[in-house]
Amino acid sequence: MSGIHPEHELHTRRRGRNMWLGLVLGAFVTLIFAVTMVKLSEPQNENPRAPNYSATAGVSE
Amino acid sequence: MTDATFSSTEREYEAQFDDYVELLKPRVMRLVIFTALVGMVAAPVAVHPVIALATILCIAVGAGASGALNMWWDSDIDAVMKRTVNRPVPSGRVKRAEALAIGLTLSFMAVIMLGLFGNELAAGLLAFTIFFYVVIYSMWLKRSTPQNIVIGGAAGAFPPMIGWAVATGGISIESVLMFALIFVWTPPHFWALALFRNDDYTAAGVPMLPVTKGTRVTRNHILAYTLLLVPIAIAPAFTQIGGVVYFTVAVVLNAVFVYGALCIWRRDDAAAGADSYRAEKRFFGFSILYLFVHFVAIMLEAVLRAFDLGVTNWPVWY
Repeated sequence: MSGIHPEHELHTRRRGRNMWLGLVLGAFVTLIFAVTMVKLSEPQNENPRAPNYSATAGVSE
Repeated sequence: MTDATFSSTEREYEAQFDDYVELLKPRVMRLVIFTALVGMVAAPVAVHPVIALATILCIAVGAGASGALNMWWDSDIDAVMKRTVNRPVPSGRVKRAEALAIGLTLSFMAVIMLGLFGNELAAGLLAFTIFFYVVIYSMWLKRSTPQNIVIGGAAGAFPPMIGWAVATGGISIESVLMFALIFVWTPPHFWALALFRNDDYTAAGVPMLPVTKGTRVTRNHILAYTLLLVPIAIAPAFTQIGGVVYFTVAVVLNAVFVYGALCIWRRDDAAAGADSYRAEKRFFGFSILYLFVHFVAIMLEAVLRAFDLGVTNWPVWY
């Protein structure tokens, strides 16, 4: 059978490299998630033109 | 495609993860991480630890990416010099095209992510640093002028300024002085190396000062730049990031550094050759410690301020 099948020697040869790459990508995703959480928890009053939702919260017309 | 394509008898060496890490010049990255962290910690604005970690990583990856681009561009001269012949590209472990692709991709990602994690100024400074190191220093100055290291040293001097910009969103006298400290330190540091690695640079045709102007001129330049460095290194003591600890450390380090430069200045090639460039090698080794301890002192001052342990009546001029 031709082609790359799951047990090919290529996979063994690249296992270490791929594992490290996977770890780096996983760490990158975790970092973006952590930064997002921090940014969302910061006060949102930096842009004076941004609508202030908290001022109108609970007011119905 | 068949299995034969991947025959173990025909395959070339395949780069491992370590080779790609080495492509990013991890030793340079360590210094970049440290100085950027000090710039951030010394700033008067606190940075959330997660943001600090994320932005420092961006700065480190940006520095590593410029190292990869430098190895892509300089692979021909790296192959000639003993000091660099085992780098991933000249040794054949990583292909030139791979180094270029990795360098460009990581540069782009580092700048974009720093803009998102930190702010536009920090991202702009990182982009300029990468551009300066790769285009201005590696492609233009390195092979064309003996002053290459004087101007090119700016690339290595930006990290504390970027760290400061992440925290404050601006540039101030303190961050400019941290920049100046590394910028003026770089020429004597590299010229001392060039004195005892002269053969390497001659073989590669890199116009380092000892190659083009001779070792006497280089020794004079080392002393001149070391003397110029003294006021620049001591000045931060009288800013918001300094204090009595930094002042004491800076005075001692600069006294030893000037003494080392004087020793090099007094010698000629015959004396240096007789003891295998002992004074030059010692000066080079001390120069690394010199820079490291200056930044440790800045960090120490920041810690003392955080715990209100600083000297209250210390003169702050800026």
